[in-house]
Amino acid sequence: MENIKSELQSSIDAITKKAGEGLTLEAEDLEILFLATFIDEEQRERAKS
Amino acid sequence: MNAPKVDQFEGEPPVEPQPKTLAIVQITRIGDLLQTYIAAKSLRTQRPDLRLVLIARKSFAAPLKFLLSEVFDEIFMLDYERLIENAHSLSDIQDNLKEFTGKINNLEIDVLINLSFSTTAEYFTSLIQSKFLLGPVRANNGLLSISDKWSKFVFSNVMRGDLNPFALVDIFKFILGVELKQPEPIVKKENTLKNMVIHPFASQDRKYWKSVKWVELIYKTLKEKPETIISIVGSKEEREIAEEIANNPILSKFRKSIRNLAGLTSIEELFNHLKRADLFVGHDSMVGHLAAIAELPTITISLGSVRPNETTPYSTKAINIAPKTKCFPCFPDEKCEFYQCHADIGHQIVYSAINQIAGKGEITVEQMEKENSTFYLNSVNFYASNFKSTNLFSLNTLNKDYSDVKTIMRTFLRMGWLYLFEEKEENHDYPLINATIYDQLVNVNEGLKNLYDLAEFGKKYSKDIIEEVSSDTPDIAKIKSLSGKIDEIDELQEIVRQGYPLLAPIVDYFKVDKANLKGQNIVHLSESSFYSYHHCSSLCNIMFELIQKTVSEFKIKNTNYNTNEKESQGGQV
Repeated sequence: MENIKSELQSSIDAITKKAGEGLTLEAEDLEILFLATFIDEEQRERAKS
Repeated sequence: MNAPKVDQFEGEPPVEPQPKTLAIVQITRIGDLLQTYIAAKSLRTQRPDLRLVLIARKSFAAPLKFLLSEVFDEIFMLDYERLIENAHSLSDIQDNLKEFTGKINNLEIDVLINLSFSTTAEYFTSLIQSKFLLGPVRANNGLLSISDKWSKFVFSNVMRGDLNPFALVDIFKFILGVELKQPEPIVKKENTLKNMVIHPFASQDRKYWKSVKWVELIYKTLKEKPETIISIVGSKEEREIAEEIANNPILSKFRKSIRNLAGLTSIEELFNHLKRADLFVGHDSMVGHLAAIAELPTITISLGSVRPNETTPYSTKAINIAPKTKCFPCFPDEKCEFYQCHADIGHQIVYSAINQIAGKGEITVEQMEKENSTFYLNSVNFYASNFKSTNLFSLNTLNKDYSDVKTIMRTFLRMGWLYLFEEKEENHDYPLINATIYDQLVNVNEGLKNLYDLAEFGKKYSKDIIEEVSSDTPDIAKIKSLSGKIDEIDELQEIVRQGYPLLAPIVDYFKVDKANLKGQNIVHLSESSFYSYHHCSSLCNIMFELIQKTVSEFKIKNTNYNTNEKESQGGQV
């Protein structure tokens, strides 16, 4: 999971840069952003229980 | 043109019209899912021709499948284990996600509605294709976009402050386009309390009493009503604390009357248990919603960040007891060392409500006053559910004392929003006000005047931009200057918000509205901006009139107005 998280972070950095330059985000970028928030939410939920 | 001959189609079966597909995204918690179920059930009854699809988290939707499958034709479950945990790389996860969204996209969805207000859901919704879309979604610039008024309302008003006057279920119904109808009234079974179900838990510490208060309530109930059996329900994680409550030495002589079912039932079994019970008592949690669906009278003890108006179980027999603590309701991430709101609701008050519901089936303040000292009564608000002439859920304050200014504003905002969004009129009694509230309302009207003037300026500048752009020789510098003035108006509205916090719902809504203006060019955007300001000034006007009437009535009836005097008034707004 740590590897996946690190891969995700690199992708997010690239997307943030792209969005900052005013470029249109592709479906794949939105997928990454969804996955990042989804994993974060699920892990927080699991940590609580 | 070679048009086909009519006889070419002879013998072929007529093409059946395909049902329209409406898909709902609800990937937040189980309580939200239950409230979505209630709203979607009304839609299912009114539109049996629709194909209804639900997209929800597996962990929340799977235990509710017995209910959800009554309403939805297809349920897609977002499964964390399948999507993420079993994958070896990010590319595996992306493939899994593509497979999941691909299946949904094959449905050819006509209308997609995101009812879950979370960033995760906004991104998820952007991955689903549909002809029409309602609710928040991330656009291809990564920014949030909301097109419909009720979703903008949720985003700007729900869980932001404590002035939202609508039940979440009703808001969901508005978003879904359901014609509002009251639920069937709950008929009280017998004049006894044989089976009472309690859920002494909630999603956060701040929302539920410590065990000792529940022990006190159980002791009092079983002492007064020895024929009652109390079932403690909850999840596996809650079993240990439920055990602590059930085995508390104070309750030793009532052991046979207490059943700890926490962690022992599935949600379906719990639902069936609730159906056989006489009363549910608990905090703001999914069990309360489940009890309302099971047509059980409910008593909710609202604590911490709970907004009674938003999430009280949606039924005709719901009582809500909330503290009058100054900081109630708080926000989920606010720090709190000492939960004063927990202390402000005594178990005696809750027992009194139980006793009355078990007897006459309703609670009255007269009876409350007979059974409790003013010491306990003065620190709580009692609410009873009620469906207005608009068929909207409402919580009526049962307390006899003066309304507080927030309750009055909530009522006026409710009337204002309903008229603005739905052209519905709802009558309410004039609120009881005293001199302090009079002054507060007069002050709010000052803020409303400012907000109205700003909105009128906004309309003027938006119109000026349209006229300038449409002229034969548009002056770019003038357009820029007008656009700058509109920015200034938005900044000034923010200052009004800070000076008049009771107007925050209006400023916040129109901020979201203006962030989501429709149009691809300056003319369309300016038209959209004009209408946004126009709606803002209309709402300010409605609110101003309502407050003006209320304070005028007070003045008429208190000709010898004196700031220390407390006089009441009656009539309808």
